[in-house]
Amino acid sequence: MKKIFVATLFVAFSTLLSAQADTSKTKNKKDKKVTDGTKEVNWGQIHGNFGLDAQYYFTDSLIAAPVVPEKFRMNGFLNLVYTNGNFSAGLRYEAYLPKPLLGFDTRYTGQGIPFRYASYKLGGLEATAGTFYEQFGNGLVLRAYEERSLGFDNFIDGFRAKYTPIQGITLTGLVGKQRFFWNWGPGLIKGFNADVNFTDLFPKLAEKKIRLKIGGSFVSKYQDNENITSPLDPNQILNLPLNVGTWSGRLGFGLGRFSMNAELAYKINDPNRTNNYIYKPGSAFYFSASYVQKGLGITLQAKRIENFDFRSDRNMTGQPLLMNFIPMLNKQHTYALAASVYPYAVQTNGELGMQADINFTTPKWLAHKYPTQININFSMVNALDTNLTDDLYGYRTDVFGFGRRLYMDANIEISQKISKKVKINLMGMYLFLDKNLVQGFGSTPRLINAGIVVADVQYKFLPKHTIRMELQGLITAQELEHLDDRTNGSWAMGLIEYTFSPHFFVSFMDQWNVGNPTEEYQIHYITGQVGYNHGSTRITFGYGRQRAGIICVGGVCRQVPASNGFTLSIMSSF
Amino acid sequence: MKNIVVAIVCFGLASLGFAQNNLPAVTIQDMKCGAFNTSQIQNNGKPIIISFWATWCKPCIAELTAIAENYEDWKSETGVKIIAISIDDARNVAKVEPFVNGKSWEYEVYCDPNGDFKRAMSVNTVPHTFLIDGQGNIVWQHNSYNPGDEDELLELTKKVSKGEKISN
Repeated sequence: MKKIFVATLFVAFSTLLSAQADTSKTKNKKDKKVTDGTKEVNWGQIHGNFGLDAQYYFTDSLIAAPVVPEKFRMNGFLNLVYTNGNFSAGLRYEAYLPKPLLGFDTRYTGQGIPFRYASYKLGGLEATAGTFYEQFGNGLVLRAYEERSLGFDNFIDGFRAKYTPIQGITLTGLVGKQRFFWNWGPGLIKGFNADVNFTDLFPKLAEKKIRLKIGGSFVSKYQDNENITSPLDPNQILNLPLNVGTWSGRLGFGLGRFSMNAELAYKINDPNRTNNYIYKPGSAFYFSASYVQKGLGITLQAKRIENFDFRSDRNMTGQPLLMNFIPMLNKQHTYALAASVYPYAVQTNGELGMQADINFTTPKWLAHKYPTQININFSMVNALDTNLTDDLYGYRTDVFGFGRRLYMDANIEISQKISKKVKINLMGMYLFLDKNLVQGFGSTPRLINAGIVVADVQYKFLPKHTIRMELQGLITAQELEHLDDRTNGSWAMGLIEYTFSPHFFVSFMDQWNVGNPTEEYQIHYITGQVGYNHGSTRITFGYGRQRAGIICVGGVCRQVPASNGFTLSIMSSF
Repeated sequence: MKNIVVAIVCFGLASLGFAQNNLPAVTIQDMKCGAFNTSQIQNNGKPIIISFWATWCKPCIAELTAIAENYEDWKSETGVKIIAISIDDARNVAKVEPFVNGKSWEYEVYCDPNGDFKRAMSVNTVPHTFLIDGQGNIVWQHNSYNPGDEDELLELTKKVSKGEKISN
């Protein structure tokens, strides 16, 4: 099958090359008179990127690193995109040899070309055959995307057409199946989306600084019937819906400095493994409002998610075959202790969340020579308040039924340039997390309260030479009932980095679980890295201990086991 | 397996002949959620810098802040226009406009929430910076940011604005 696709792609590709060559010849005949005869053929352009991550593993029982008998593993890919005028085609070769790196799903083991497509634009129509990524609205009912650092890839393989009859109206239709490692998921996805931007259609609105946009989507999946016994009665076989439909409506409105954006989505009964095969319909609501002026930006966001895990396989859990995207509404932290010791993971089957975010620069009259930049952020997420029922609907809940608190985060970050040579960044944060509920370890409360402080100082001692230092502390009570846990109690972290612009860097980092109640587990996770950049190529080489934890990028998280070893990473674009 | 190798070799050879030098035409969003086609990116024959960034990317913010301090001088010396493409997804895209205003950045900013332009430009990770000459050709690109990189970028932009040839 794969061979046929590759072959087809090449035929399409070569036909097109000659077709395009012909047209450019004709075109160039006219040009010839002017440009004195050098006949140019339009061969189009090829570009792409390449990435390789490899690790050589050592055994390290102290940090509970899984044993890797083959010692060496790598993830690699190569993307190639060919464009010529309105035509484009591309493919991606991937290899996970002999197995994917620790922490990635082992079902990726192998190599091949899972991603390949051809696409053509004609007037307002764009047609794509093969694999593609897509997002409708905020992604509540459909989002196909890739997050390579997490091993997440749920592209759709099929057909898609986008049509823009006039500026301001976009219609999209698609049919296909989703990637499931080296295969496809069982569900067939059909989707339709329309967006109408009234500001484009009626210039008078723009004159009055009014922005108005509406949109709507319909997405359905079809999956064959199967015998699944009722969770209530083992003798009863469930009467499954084979087609599950979702729809959403969106409104975007703006007046001058104010903007708001709301989306409401609904899903018919979709008994699946993540909701324990209940027949209750699902819903999702997302709202965002913002105000901006020079030197100030304020965002307020809220959401309510109920029973909205949507996949092209009703029996799937974890990362694979997700069809939609529920955005997390908390700050995406990047300082290590804030980002990855107690991260939040989105609860697709029920949560109520809100966030306020303020960014401002101190006005000139207040600041000394260099203005101060400040970010204040607050977010809170609660579970739904549910009353379990003994029917196939599973539970009852109110629209504003706030259940147990899952997460809360209040933080302030201050950036200040002190002189031409010195810049500092300070952060303080309070964090609350119900670790058991959020990470799916059961409903017994396991409450974490933590304070985090970060100081990040950069000193450019010569024009191209900079030293940067980070000191971080995470202060929290010891969990004496979890003495086997290697993430327990307070942490300290230090990082020192030297950069020589534009090519070279070296860094050294120590994360130390200083407050672990088990003395043996007061481990130093030390890593060292050197890197070299040239243009769009970056090579880094490192050695160290990676602590176990959850890594989240862009709202999706994955468990990463501890590891100890040498790492090599090469990234390049052309 | 043999097919794959052949495919890679073919494409690899082909790519030697014609690497990317023009901007692809992709529809993304402006900060007000209106549609914006990247083929509209232009600066009247003057150089353009395109910088891919995200609100959660510390080195990206460091780079754009360092340039923002001297952006007026850059513009008057070279006529350059900076276009910042945020790759924040639905989680953070609503925060992009308030973030940019909060930082008082004067850049043209667009949002690429599902990575369509990022893929079309073969960007692996952010920050990734492209320098475009007055004819719309990509003449230089750089991945990652170290303090001081902006000085090199300014020197290259000056050369490009004078019509001199540069390469990576």
